[in-house]
Amino acid sequence: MDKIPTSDAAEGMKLARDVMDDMGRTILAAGTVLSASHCKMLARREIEFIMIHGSEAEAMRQEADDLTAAVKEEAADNRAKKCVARVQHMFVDVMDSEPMQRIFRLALEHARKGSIRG
Amino acid sequence: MADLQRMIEGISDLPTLPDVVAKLNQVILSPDTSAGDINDIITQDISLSAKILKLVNSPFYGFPRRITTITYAVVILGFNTVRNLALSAFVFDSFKKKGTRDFDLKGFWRHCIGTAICAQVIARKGKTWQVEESFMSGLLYEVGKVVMNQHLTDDLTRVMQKIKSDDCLFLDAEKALLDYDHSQVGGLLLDRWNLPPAMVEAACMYHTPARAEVAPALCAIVHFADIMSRALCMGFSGDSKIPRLDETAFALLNLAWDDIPVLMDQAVDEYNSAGAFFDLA
Repeated sequence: MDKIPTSDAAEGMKLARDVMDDMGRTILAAGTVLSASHCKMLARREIEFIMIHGSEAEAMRQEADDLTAAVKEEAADNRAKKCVARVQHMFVDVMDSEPMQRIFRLALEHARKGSIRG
Repeated sequence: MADLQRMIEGISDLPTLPDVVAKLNQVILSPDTSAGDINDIITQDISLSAKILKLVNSPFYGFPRRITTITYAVVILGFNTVRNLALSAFVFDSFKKKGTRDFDLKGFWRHCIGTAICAQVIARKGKTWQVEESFMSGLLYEVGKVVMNQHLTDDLTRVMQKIKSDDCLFLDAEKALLDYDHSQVGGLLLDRWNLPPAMVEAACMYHTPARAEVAPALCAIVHFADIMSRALCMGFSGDSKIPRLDETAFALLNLAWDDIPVLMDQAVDEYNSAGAFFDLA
């Protein structure tokens, strides 16, 4: 996905985001393949920038990357949550000891950050 | 203890130290040994040589140039580290059988690798024991559990069930059910392999480091490394609890409490780059 000045817009480009006017109304929806008249209209309305897909393949790749990143993020988040619960459970019987409280605080910090991978 | 020794000796297929590692243990003690001598011994075993080179070239060691020969690895890493890599590869190979259903062997080796790394960072900072031997002691400190997993499976199954029902430490479950424990089993095995007495004692005494006689500093390192790796959720030790810190042992580490966050960060970084070790285990 690229952000380009409207002056560079050309026939055949595909919009990656909705184009809106000053009032926030959609004048061209994401996914529209630009025609010559669309380009003229955008220039006339003084729209400064538009977001376009580089190509269909790139768009698909981008979508796949976004999805993979989201899955990875969710997995890391779940791992961190599990680790936090594990640390809390692990220390529950030893919290009357001051050194163990110190270790617990440090362990919890690492668990929340999801420091350990895999 | 004598009964346990008889029981361990009675296990016919208990792994014996391979000739290559035994020879390495011998030659490493001689001041005349060269990197070429170590190379000659290790390259007798092609598979072992390949495993060592894979570990040496992994991100764990992070060398900018590829190390292609054992001789070069010895020059860069030293005799002890290369011997320890050979021993690690042998131990991982020897205890691959899955064993008891409730015992997560992969997770367990990850925990041991984590403890080895923690022991290494503790020893590096406190300078109270040799770093390589601390790493190896951390790796092998609970080897008794894998012996139980493969050869004393009924006992281990009962222990795992007790842990599940009582949510207790592995050692407490053993005390309640058996007349021996994994640290005694591990100590006997390491002694049988003629490993240094300090490493044998660390495996036997890491739960009670204050009672150590041969190497109190190493026992203290392994004791704290075990706590650190559990706290950092490195793998699976067999239970979901953490033992209490022995403050007398902590005093032997030559560390201040302010050092601990830094050591934990270092241990996490090294653990996250230890993929080549995990692949071998």
